[in-house]
Amino acid sequence: MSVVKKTLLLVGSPKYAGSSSESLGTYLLEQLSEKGIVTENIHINQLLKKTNGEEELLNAVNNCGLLILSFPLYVDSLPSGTIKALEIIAQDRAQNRNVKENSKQQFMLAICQSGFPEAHQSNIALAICRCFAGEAGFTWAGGLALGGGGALIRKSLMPGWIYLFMGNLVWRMQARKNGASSVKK
Amino acid sequence: MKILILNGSTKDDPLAEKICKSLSEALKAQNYEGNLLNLTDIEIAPCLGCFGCWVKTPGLCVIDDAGRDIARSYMQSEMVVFISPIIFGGYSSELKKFFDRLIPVLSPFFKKVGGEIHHKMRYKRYPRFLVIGVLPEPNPEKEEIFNKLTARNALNVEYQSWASGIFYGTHSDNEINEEIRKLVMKVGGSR
Repeated sequence: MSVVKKTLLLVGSPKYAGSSSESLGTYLLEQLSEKGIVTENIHINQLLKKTNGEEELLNAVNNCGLLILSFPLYVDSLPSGTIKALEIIAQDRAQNRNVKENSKQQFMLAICQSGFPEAHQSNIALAICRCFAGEAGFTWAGGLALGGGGALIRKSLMPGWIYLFMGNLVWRMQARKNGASSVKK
Repeated sequence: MKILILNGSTKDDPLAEKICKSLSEALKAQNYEGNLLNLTDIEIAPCLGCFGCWVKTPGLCVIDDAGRDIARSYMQSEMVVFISPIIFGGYSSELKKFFDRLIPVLSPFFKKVGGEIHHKMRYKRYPRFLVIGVLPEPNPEKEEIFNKLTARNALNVEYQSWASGIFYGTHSDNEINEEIRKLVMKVGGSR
């Protein structure tokens, strides 16, 4: 891989703050920063709510050497707002082919995290990202699937039956805290 | 049979229009009652990822907009049809926005399905499920992703039956009508 001058992190979580997607992405940015790489962090949903959000997004994407997309698994795929951003980027690059063809090689990688212990449940979402990369003119640098949810409990550390027991217990505790007594197992 | 059709295509998609028309006719021939919703005409907010529909107001999204009505209609229908252009192998953001808002119909609790962890069902009965993907022309990469995606979607919910089909801009009207008829028969059965 050629030397990447600027890395852009796109956070695809609908949550505005404290999401696992952001934590994972910013951890990676910190490591790259230490290597002298300039980094930028964009929260997709927040940016697209702004008046010039689309333009800002496209400028940031067109000026990066490495694009990192970090998002949570939503119904076997990406959250709708993240798909929307990818549609905007791909459409722009299809219309402005000079951006794609004249630009230096740009790389893309994706991080998908889910609440399920099996990381492979994110494979389809990452395949969608790979397909986007090809269509939008990025060189696909790979995808990372993380299972275990917010706590990022590693599968190897927690057998399936404990995950089931603990997961169900945590849901019940949260519901009780909110007074949602009608939640049944 | 009450059918809910969610069309996630853009307004200027002649192939999706043809498919909707063909689907309406195939349903009518079976005496099914179809309710077609063009999603670009309905404004809803995207899912917030707050889990409020699981731990605060179980079964009901905390966002009070048409997303709630569609989730209710989804559960009250005997068959639900999703129509979407295939975007990067998946659904359009428009269709996905509605799909994400259906999370309240599931329970947060976990169970094992085929050795994997999935969510438990909140209700005893779920509709039949038909997914139609639209592509301008054949594209093996996108089709493979789409087929795997719909199969995984079908693992999440105890649908009474399900099927998916992919249509190209190169298909003739007759091919579309015949394939739609087969899909409706496969999911809905004959009567």
